Amino acid sequence: MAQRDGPTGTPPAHAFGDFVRKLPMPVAVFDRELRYIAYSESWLEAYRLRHSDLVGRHHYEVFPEIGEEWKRVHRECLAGATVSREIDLFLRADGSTDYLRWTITPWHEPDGRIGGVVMYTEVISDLVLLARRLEEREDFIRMLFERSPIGLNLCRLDGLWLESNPAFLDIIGYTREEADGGLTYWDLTPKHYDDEERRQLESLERTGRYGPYEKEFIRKDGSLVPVRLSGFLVEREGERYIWSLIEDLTEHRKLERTAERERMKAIHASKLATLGEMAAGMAHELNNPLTIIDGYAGMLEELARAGDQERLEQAVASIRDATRRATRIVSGLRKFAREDDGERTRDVLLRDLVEDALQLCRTRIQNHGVALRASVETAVHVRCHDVDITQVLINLLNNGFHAALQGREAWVAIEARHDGRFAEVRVRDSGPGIPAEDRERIFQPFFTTKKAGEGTGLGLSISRSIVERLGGSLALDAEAPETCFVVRLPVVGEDP
Amino acid sequence: MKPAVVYIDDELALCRIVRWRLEAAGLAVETFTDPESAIAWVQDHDVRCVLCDYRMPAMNGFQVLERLDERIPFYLVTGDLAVGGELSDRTRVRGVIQKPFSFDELVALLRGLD
Repeated sequence: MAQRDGPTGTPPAHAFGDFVRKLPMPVAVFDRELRYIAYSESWLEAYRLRHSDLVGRHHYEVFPEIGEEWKRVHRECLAGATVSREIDLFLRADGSTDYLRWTITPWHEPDGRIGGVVMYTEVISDLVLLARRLEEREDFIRMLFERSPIGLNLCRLDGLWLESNPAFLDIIGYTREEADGGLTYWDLTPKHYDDEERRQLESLERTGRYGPYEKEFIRKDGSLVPVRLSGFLVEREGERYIWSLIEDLTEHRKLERTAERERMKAIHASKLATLGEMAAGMAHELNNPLTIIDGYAGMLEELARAGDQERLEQAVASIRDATRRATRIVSGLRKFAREDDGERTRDVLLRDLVEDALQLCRTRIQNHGVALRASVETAVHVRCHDVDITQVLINLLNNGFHAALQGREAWVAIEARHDGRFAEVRVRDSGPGIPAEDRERIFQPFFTTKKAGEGTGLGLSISRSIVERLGGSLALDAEAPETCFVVRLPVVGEDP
Repeated sequence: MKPAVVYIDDELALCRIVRWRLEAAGLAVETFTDPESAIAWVQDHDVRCVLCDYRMPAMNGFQVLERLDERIPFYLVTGDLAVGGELSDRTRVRGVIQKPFSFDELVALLRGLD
C-alpha cells in the first residue's frame, strides 16, 4: 500500500482514556481479569454508579448482582467470542430493573493475544416500556374491536375481507378462518343490490364515506340477514381500504313488524268502532229499501193474476231499484270493514274518497236534522290506502256531527281543495268548539269527550297516524272561526 | 169519505208503496214526504191515524207529534235499532212500527183501529 500523509500524530496513550470517557454511550474496556481499563461517563450515568474512579477495580466488585449466566458470557468472550443481546433484563442489587441491549467483544494485544473485552451497552428501559404500553394499548383496542356489539370489518377496495370482528362473523354466520380465507363482500351480496352498491361506491369515491344504508347479506346457511352499513375510506401504507360498521337489523325488523301489526290491528279496531257507531244509521238506510221490496213483492202475485202488466213492471222496477240501493249500502260497508290485508297504497281520486265517506254517513247526519254541506271540486289524486282515508274522513264527519248536535245551528261541512303540492280536506261543524286546553290532547289515544259507549277515543290519534304515514298531516285549524279539522295529503297527480 | 191513514216519511219510494198497499187493502190513505204539509192536512181532514217516520231531515217524529191533536192515534215508524219500548213509555205514542215492517201486519193493525 502506498504511503500517504498520515494523521497528524498518533494520540498519546492517555488520550485513549479520554476518548473512551467521552463516548456518548455506556461503554467499558476491561483487561483479561475483567478489571476496568477505561469507561465512558455515560456508563456511570446509565448504571447510576457513584464511584468516580473505576479503573483497576473488578467488574464483579462494581456489580455484585451480576449472575452466573453473564459470567459465562464473559468467559466466552475472553476466549474470543463476540456476544450480543437485543433485549436483556438486568436485575440490580437495589431492586430496580433495567432493560439492556449489549455487545461484548474481545480486544487484542499487538501480538494477537486477547487483552480483555469491551462492553458496548445501551439502557433501553424507556423503549421497552414504551413498546409495552403500545402493546397494551393495541390489546385494548383489539379488545374493543373483538367485543364490539356492532359488526366491524376492514376490506380492500375490491371487497376482499381482511379483518372481521366476532359480531360481524355472527351476522354472516362464517367462522374467522372462513371469512379470512378469501371471502369477499360480493360473495355475500344479493345481485339485486347492484345498483344501490354502485351508488354507495360512488359516494365513497366522492366523499370518502358511504351509508348508512340498508341491505341484506347472504349468510353461510343461505338465509338473508337485514343489515345497516356505513363506513369510510382509510389509508395505510399507501393502500386504501374500506372500514365498515355493520348493524344486524333482524331484531329491529321484528319489532317493526310487530309494531306494524299492532298498528293494523288498532286501525281495524277503530274502524269497527266507527262501524258500530254508525250501525244504527246503517240499519235505517237498509230498512227502507227492505220495506219497499217487501211491499212490492207482496203485490206481485196479485198483479200477475190480474194481468196488470203495467203495474207489474212498475213493481219489479221498484224492487230492483230498492235492491240496488241496499246492495250499495252493504258493499260500502263491506269495503270499509274488510280487514286490511297489508294492501299497498294506490293513487285515488280525492273526490271518490270524500264520496265514499259521505255515502256511509250522509243519511245518519241528515236524519238527525243536521245539514251536510259538501263541496268537492278538485280532481287531484292522492296516494293512499283508500279505505284508511275514508275512515279518517268518516271519523271527522262523525265528530263534527256529534258536535253539531250540541250547537244552536246544526251543520257539518266538508270541503276539498288543493294548492298543487298538497290536497286539503277541511271538515267544519257548527258545534260549540274545542276548548283551548284540549286542542292537543284530542290527538292523544283514548282522549274523548263523548259519553261512554259513544266513542273509543282512538279516532283522532289513529287518523293522525294514518295520514302522517302517507306524508300528510291532520291538524286543527286554530285560526278558523268554527271547529275545523284539516287533512293534508301530498298530491300525486291531477285529472285533466 | 172514510177517515184516512196518514203516512209521513221523507222517502218518496216508501210513500208510494205504502199508498199502493193500503189502498189495495181498501183503506183510505194520504202520504207526505214533507211533515209540514202533513200537519196542515191533518188539521182539515178526518184522520184515522198518523204513521210517522222518526228520523227525517227537517223534523223528527216527536216534533210532528207535538203539533198534532192529542186524540189522533200516533204510530212511530222507525228503522233504528235501539228505538223501542222506551219511546212509547214517555210519550203518547200508540205504538212503534219497526222497519222493515210486514204490510199484511200493518193492514191488520190499521183495520183493528175501528
